[in-house]
Amino acid sequence: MSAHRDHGRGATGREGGVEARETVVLVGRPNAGKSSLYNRLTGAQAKVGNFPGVTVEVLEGRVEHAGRFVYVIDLPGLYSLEGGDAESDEGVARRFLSGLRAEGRRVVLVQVLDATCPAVGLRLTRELCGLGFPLVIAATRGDVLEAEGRHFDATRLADALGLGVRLVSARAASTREAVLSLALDALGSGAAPTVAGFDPDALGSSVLREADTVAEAQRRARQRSARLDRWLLAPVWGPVLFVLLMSALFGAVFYVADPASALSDRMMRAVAGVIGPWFGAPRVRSFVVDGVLGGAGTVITFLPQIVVLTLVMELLDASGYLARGVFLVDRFLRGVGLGGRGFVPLLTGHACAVPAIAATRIIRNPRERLTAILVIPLMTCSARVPTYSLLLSAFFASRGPVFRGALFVSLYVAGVAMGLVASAVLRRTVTRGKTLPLVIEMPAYHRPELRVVGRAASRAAKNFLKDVGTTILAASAVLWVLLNVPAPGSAAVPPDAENAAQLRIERSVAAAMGRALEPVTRLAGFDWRINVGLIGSFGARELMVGTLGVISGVEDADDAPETLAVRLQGQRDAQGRPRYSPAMAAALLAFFVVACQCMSTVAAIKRETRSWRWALFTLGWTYALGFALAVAVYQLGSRL
Amino acid sequence: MRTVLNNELRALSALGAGESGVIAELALTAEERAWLDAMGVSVGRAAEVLRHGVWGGPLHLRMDSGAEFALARELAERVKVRG
Repeated sequence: MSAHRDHGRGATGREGGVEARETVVLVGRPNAGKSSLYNRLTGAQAKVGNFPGVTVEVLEGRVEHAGRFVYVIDLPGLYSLEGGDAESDEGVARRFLSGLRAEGRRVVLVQVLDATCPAVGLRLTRELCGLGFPLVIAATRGDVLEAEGRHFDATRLADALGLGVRLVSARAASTREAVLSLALDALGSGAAPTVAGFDPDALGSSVLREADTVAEAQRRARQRSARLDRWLLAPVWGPVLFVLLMSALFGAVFYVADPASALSDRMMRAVAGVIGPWFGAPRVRSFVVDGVLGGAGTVITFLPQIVVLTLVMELLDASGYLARGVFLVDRFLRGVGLGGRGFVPLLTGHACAVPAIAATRIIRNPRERLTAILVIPLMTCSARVPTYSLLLSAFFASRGPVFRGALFVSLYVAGVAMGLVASAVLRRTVTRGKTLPLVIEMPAYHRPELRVVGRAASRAAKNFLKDVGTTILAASAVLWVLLNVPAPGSAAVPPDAENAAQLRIERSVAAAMGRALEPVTRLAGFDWRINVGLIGSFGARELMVGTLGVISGVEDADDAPETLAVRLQGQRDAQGRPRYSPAMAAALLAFFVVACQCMSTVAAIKRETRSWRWALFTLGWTYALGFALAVAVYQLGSRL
Repeated sequence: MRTVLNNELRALSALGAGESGVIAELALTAEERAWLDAMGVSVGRAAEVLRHGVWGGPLHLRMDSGAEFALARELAERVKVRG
């Protein structure tokens, strides 16, 4: 058995031949055991397929079977092929299958049907029969049935439907051979199902024979789930436990962020120490070390957060608890156009928007998911904290710690409030559209398959590095150029000049941009220095402190922000008046609350929506609103 | 499980926790009906209300097939049951 990720060669029914690609498409309800079967068939050697117009993740792997190469595609879990708008998983699946046919592929559908409750799965079978593709059924969880002493009559089901049916267990090695042989036999015959309408409930009951012991086993399982639900879904304790659990998840993401950042710093310094001397010219060395390696460090910092979040989310989903969480909070978020599944990404956004945007994949409704992606940047992520602290200590020191603490908390609350309002507005405007009220299966609690969960996390990490990582690296390199290359007409800074770093930034392209923007940004109290800080901190919000430090001539402002705070307070303009006022600081805080001031977030939005359109839209509306708020706050503050 | 005693039509959302009834009418759009049907919620099936979500939240249901669902209250109001 072997599996390949090589999509470069045109895999056909006969390697190197001219036959149409043979494609096995796995389709089934969520929680039917599709991911486990996909991993078993492909050895988990999968990549996210690049299919035109398909925005949800469709996995594709190429495997060798009986001397031929076959594509295996894993569609998102579906309840039905009917209904649902074009952007829903159901709509995507319909379009996807039509696309395969138009591409000229030879397609066989393998319906993954949970053999422990066949009746609900057979409703989907009824729809799949009408698509005109050859169809077979892989009835999963054979091991569970055996353990419970139940009998699934695959022959009876096959006779009733006129389809190939095989009872399998994704854990058994023989499953790969059994399912691929079944599928390729059906593909060979090329015959689509001919069965007329049937009653899924009657057929489901007739093929599943319950053993004497089953009633007792089922009763026990139901009691177990009911006991857990009594606690986990209790009117008061349920939501409290859910919020506590989600806070622990938020804490875990937060917790790994600092060590990850320190580790990536150490790694990048070590790498810089090795490769830095290779580049003689200081400018080139700085570009490689600060621009390229700095960007790589940012990418590595995010990686553990992505892995932790994916692991926990997959565990919660596979255990059956995530559906309970949705039940508990759906009502609250429904009012602003988001469902219960939106809670987790919004909360995670308080640690970091990048993993939070990836976490929106748990939202099934495409419009709700897009809305969540667009408002997550408003949540107060950890990268805003250094700038908030600096501005609060520099300009509100005289107001006492209680005032500063209250202002700090109000910034968090403002982020949440802005996010909820923005969500409600977006759902009535750009992401408006009908959404189905909540209907979600509450599966019995069960132990997740750790191998499947682990592979999902590893896939998330690889995809992040590939898609988001490359954008961050490119943006980091561009920012280096803006902050270090002299603007046209500016003299180059001699490397041995006193305050070389400060001079370099003052004569940079970014400074020229900052000065050009000053007539407009003055309305919010921002001079060109603040503008340069904002340009520099687009790499990561926390860079605002460091960039302002360089402009103000404070070395290592990140490690000694109080020095920078004093310096900012003491700066005077040409008339001897304080250069920056508390009104400007408040305006800058207002801007930071709203603006999507983070290239990594923009890259993550681009990756998840598969388009620059929404990334640029987010930049546009958050900058416009952020600046408008900043102007309002500054103008009001200056008059008080 | 307590079954609704009288035979009159009631909204599923009007059943209390622990009460059950047989689905008699679905006053739903075609899309909503297809969606619920795919989940195994259709006329003639018995449904037991396990609990109500807080502050007008969804209903937690168990169908006679043993499958459990969360169903938005606004849908449950339009699903009529008989005892």
